[in-house]
Amino acid sequence: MRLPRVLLAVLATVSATTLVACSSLGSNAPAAPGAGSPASVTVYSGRGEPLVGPLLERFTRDTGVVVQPRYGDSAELAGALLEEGANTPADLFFSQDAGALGAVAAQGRLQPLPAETLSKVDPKFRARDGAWIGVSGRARVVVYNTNTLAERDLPDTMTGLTDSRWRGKIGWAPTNASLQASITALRLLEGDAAARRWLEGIKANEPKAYRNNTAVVQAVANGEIEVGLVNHYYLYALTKEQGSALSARNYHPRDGGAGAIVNVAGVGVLKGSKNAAAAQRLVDYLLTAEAQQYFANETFEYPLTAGVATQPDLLPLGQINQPDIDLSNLADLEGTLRLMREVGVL
Amino acid sequence: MAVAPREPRAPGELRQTVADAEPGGTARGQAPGARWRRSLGRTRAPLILLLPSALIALAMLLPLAYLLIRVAGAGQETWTLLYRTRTGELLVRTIGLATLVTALGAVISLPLAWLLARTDLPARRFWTIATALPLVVPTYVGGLAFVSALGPRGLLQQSLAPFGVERLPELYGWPGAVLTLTCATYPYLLLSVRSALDGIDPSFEEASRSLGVGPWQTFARTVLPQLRPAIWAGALLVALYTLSDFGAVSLLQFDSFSRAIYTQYQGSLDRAGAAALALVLVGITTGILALEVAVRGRASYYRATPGAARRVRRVRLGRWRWPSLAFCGAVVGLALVLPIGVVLYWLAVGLRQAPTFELLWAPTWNALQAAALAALAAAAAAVPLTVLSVRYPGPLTDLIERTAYVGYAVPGIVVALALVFFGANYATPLYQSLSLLVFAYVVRFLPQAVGATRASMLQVSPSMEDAARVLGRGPLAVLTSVTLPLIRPGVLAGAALVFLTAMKELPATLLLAPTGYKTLATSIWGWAAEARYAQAAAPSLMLVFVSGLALLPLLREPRQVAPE
Amino acid sequence: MSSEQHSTRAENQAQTALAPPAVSVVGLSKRFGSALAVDDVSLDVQRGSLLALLGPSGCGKTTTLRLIAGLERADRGQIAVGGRSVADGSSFVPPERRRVGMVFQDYALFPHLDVAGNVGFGLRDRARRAARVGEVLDLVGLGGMERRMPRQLSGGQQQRVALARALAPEPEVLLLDEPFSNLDPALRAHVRAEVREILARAEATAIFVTHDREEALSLADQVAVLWQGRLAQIGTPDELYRQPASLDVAGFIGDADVLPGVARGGQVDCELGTLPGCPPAYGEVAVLVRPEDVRLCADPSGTAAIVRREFYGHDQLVTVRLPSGRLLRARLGRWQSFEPGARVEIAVDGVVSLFPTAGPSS
Repeated sequence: MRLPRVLLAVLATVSATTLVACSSLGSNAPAAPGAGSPASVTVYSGRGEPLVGPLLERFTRDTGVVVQPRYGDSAELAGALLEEGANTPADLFFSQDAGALGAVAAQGRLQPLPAETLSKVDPKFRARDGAWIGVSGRARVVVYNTNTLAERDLPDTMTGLTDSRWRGKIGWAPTNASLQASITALRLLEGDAAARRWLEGIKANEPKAYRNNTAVVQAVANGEIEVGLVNHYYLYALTKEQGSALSARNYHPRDGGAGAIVNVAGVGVLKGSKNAAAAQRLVDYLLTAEAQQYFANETFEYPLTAGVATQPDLLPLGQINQPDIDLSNLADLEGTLRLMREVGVL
Repeated sequence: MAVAPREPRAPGELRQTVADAEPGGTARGQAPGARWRRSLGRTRAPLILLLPSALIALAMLLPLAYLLIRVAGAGQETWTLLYRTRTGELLVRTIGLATLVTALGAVISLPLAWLLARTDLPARRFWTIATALPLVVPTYVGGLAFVSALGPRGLLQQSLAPFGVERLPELYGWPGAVLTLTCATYPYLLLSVRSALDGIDPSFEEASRSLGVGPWQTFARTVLPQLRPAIWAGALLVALYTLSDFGAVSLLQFDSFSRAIYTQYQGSLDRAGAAALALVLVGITTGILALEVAVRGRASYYRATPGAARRVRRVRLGRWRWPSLAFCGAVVGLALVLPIGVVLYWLAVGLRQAPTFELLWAPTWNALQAAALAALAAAAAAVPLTVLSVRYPGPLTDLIERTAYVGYAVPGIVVALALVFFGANYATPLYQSLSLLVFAYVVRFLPQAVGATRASMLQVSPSMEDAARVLGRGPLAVLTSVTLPLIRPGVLAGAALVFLTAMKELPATLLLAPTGYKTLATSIWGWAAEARYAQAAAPSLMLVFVSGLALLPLLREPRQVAPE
Repeated sequence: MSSEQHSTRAENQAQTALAPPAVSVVGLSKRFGSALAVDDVSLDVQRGSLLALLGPSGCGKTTTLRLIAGLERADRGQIAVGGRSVADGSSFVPPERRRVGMVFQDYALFPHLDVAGNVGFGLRDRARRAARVGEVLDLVGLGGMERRMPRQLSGGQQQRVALARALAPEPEVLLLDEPFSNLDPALRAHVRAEVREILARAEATAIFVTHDREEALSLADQVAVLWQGRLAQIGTPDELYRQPASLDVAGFIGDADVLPGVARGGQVDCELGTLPGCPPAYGEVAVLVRPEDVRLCADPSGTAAIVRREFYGHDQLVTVRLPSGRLLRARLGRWQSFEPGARVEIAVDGVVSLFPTAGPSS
């Protein structure tokens, strides 16, 4: 018979190369920091590669520290860190959400950051014990269709959306971590019973479930639904991508509450990290004006260090009626998931 | 435990499940059949076969065993999660999807196989290859093509917008998942049925015709019943593939088990829930395998005359030629031309924005590397297992052989999950290393390597090995100087198949790839999940191209084509 | 050893009578699951002689061959090849170290090797390999075919390559498993003679397995009849034919009809009258009558009637009904002609075989 000779050749070459590579390098674990080898830091990033990748490259270019990023969902990576315990190859956890950082910190897996670093950010946006620090702010909003609604039509708090007036008009992404964090906030602020009532009320209004926040914002702009529960920046990202204004605006609930929470994307250094110094450099880099400006410009998030300008379209951080909450306490993701399953929205 | 079957096997092998040749007659040189059974009670299996085989078997069982241990130790909360998580609904949807995709696949494949094997369809050779080629389009590439072309605000809607078409029929959910998976999986059925058709001695049909039965009746009454085992084998592959698919159901937002497992894994700090769901999925696949074994047990094998070079008298299509061509064209258009066309379109869009090729080399190299290592490892593991099970059957070796088929019962997401747990806790040096990923591939795809190798092995008369022994070679020397050269085609075909499927594998790669180790599959997935189709286009085309290179030589020799 | 044909072999055997037998098997047993495939078989094969293992399919003859080759392990018994023990209760010499050659029913030529590669497969000595390959190929009449692939050869040629391959390492004994069953009937007789010739030239000791009695009788010096795993009888073809040890052997070795009779020493009374019988017996016996010993004579007052006639050209087989209603067959020359229904008188030539059926015999 005729054989896949090309394939054979490929197989042989690839394996030979791999064997040679393996025998000379020992293993494919990142090279340990030592004489001659460049410093390296392994990052578990809950933030996507399209966003974080260029920033990390810039960091490597500026400092010579090689970054090994492992991308995934924040909860997934937090779960990995908890599973791996002291065996973790990670040096730094870059989470999209304070809750995941809080969960890892709660298990004592993060080491405290130096005071000098912590001082760069408002205490509201970092762990009280200094285990993690926020690097950018993300506000929960209700995005609404400007063709059918005006801001005054929207309820004062998230609770108002349980009114039957909104039946069939709400969109959300129940698997989205930010939505889940806002429900955790609701539980912290008003208790589990209130959170359950809210979920049941929303469920009764037959919300349309979307895959992610971008899809929610798009659906609002298209008029498929009137309001969506999302983070603030998706609207701007989508506007930029499509190059034209969308028929949608963000609304920060005027009376505050869990619907107006400002969560953070943040970082923490793993306890027992073999590259703690390099990890610390990356933390500090993320808090430089350059990196903060990058977040403001590229992701339309709120920069958290002083002196870096927020995008002009955004409602300034100070004007959002934020609830008073310790973001570390958003760690009880499991409780929220359980509640959502019990209500039957997940 | 999986009721690991000896079937399903590669269609190539199906052709050789040919029973007893007469003691005299046709048996010459490579006589299969009755005489071989004499060897059933031969001397004990040599340790050089038994030991590696037993180790491989244990390794195959490791992920599943660890998953069981993990779930058993997870406590009450995990079990309550199972019934809160709409498990029942998931179950119905998942099984429903598998059933629908399999049924549609059969509806497409049966007439196609008949047209290709038994009629004077114009350009048959072309259609033979074109209808099998969708095998190289991974479901997530097919999925992204369908979503971006037929989804809301997709290319079709945009081109129809000037005519006032605001919305297209909903693609997400059932319609999209069924469409994508049917297009991606029907070739498994087609190849299985067609190779069976090729193997059926036309004298059956001639006999039927001579008894005064018309052509259609003949097909229905003599050919179709003989095809049943091949249809079952193909249907089983399609169903298992659908159950284990992760890419298409995720992109098309169809809540099936593998998607739910991933969502659970991704969105929760506690991983026991994902493990519990994974076990339920293993339960489904095992159930389907058991069902197949039960049904297969009742159906008898068709017999094919080996090497019957009788020319089939092809049915003249006449006026039916045009509808037949249209049918072939529609299948190929939907399953092959549309996805590739859409990807090409996105490539053009992407190239206009920025050249994307520089991002391509590392993922391509990584994909080749991981798949090649998996192919080598699987082929190497398949040899002792196959030789042992074919030459030294017995309760122990049967058990060992069956473990090789565990991969059929454990979808990629399940293997990956188990290995992530295991690696993080007990095998830290291997955790997030290439070896663990390759191991996952081997667990998953070993059945293909064993199937193809087995097909070759069954053609080797044991007297060849006996002859070599008597001529002074020890067991190991016999293996290397006689057995291996003789089963080489099967071993290579098996390696090629594993290579092909490992290249396309997504969920295990997502979970197990070393940090920073991007393959074609994961980069396509990364971009497609963000709906950035232009960036996904280049790696998609690369993947299709490389898979095609691996598949084409296999297609040329239909005996050796064995799908996942 | 009456026939001319066997004389040279008989001489060989006489010369080597004092040397150990080429193969010696004692008390050999082999069980497959619950089935006893070989049951307490003992036999010796003298150097230079040709032994046939004859029996119906499933009688254990191939298993016996494989046990001698070392391809199966015996449960009990001893095997010695060339005077060296290769298997007994405690030790087992693997096939590759037994110095036996084997020709398989399907020839088992390695399809990935050419003729020279096949024939030279068992030759360790690289330096002498080519020469020896040429030598054995010449012996089997295939000189110059070294570079052919097995699939390019005819069935008969393939078999000769298999033979050459087995002979090349100069084994103590050659084992042939149904060597002619894969050949066309038309070719078979020719190839048989050829193989016999080759074996004689190579002065090889050989054991071959067959279910074809003609093959066994015409080819072998000694025939061992296996019946349900047991050795029923071993002897020269002549002995076997004339003095079968049992009715089973008798029936298997050649056509035969059985009549009841009462023996009185060397004579027996039966429906055909009083006949000389052997071995001497007393009391009720089964009388075995070979068709070729029966003569028919047309006689309108005869007691037997012609039932049917099968004409074979060189001879014919005529079936007659005896007064008791039993059928008897007679193999006759082609010149006699009988119509069904015709009356005949029956005579029997030579000595019939007697098998006591009940009661004490001498």
